[in-house]
Amino acid sequence: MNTLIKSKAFWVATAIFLLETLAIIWLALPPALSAIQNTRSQLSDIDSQIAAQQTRVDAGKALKQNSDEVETLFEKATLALPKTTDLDQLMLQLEGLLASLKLDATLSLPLQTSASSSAAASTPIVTSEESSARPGGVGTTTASTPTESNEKTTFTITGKYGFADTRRLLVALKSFSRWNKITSVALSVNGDSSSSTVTAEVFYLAASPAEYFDTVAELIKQAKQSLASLVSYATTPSVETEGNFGRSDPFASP
Amino acid sequence: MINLLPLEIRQKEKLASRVYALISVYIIIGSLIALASAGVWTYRFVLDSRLSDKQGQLSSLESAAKVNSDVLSQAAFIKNRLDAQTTYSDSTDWADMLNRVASYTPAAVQLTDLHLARDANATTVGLNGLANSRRDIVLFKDKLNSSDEFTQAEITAINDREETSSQAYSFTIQAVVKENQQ
Repeated sequence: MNTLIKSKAFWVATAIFLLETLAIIWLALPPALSAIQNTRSQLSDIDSQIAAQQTRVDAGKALKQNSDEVETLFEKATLALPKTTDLDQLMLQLEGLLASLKLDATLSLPLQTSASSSAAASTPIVTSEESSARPGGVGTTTASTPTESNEKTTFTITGKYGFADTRRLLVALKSFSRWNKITSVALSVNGDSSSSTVTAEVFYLAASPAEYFDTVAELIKQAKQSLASLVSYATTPSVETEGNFGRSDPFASP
Repeated sequence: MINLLPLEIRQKEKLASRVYALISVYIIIGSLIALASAGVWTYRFVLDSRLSDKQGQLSSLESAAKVNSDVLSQAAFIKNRLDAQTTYSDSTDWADMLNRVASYTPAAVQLTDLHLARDANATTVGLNGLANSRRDIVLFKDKLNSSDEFTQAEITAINDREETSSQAYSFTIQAVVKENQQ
């Protein structure tokens, strides 16, 4: 044993062996373990992504099977809370609502966005049976000054009708195709004459998530409950199918 | 048993056996390290190939989902609007509110003005009308206060009318719509 301890070759060989062993353990093992850890974490991420994509695919298939229903609900949702102010559609819808209730009412709402609100305040749309008989017709300036922000538009319905008709109007606004919030109701009776003013706000919301991956059946059920009862009073104008464009003298009475 | 080998030879044999033992230990340690390394690298290779498979699976699922992206975005829009409904639609039943006012109005009282207005804090109701007696006006106010829909009803004005009519008094009542009705 003494000879072995005294042998330089033995100690050199042992040192080389130990250094090699330590070098392998120190230099090669940690990166390899770290790479394994990294790959495992990537696998875990990718598993959750696969699960999400699988849900997305399943949801897509389920939605495609009910595409007609989804399309109808999408149209209703767009009418209820559009991505833009969509005041043209609102005007036509409200006009349709007043016509269906047979109310002799004046509708006042701004036609422009808040970027040009000064113009909007001075040119509200007026639509009623009276307005068509008036010399100014549509576009006649009224005393109302609609307020508007980026997210909401205020409209006013004024008319010479009483309690029952005002109530009918409020019921119709509750199921109106565009979600609205009534801010005031004023009803006045003086002898035989009545007047009613209903002021309400409508909104728009630009933001919307890109896609839906969750349970389709529940969404359709919930959407039907909330949107199916909304009543639309006008269709979207189409220059393709209506308008009968083209006149030889546009100043001549049609 | 007596070892008859010379001492020198005996020591050499002992040394050789220790050297063999040490070399065996080195070989065992070296083999273990080699085995462990091989195990680590094999595991890493298995994980990498599994990752590669999963990435392929993910991209094929993404392609499959893209086919229906239009209907998925429509559904997302619908869901977004349903979530926003409470913020952007009216929870107050204003027609019912008018019905309530009518049902709490005494038979001998005639309303001339009704004004319901909502602001950030509350919905208020202002009522102007005509009555035969002050008692009817007080009853009207009390009925509103005892109702489930209105609170803080107060008579803010009662005036004698100069006109000769059965409705001798004009009045103003202000009330607040209860929060659970808004």
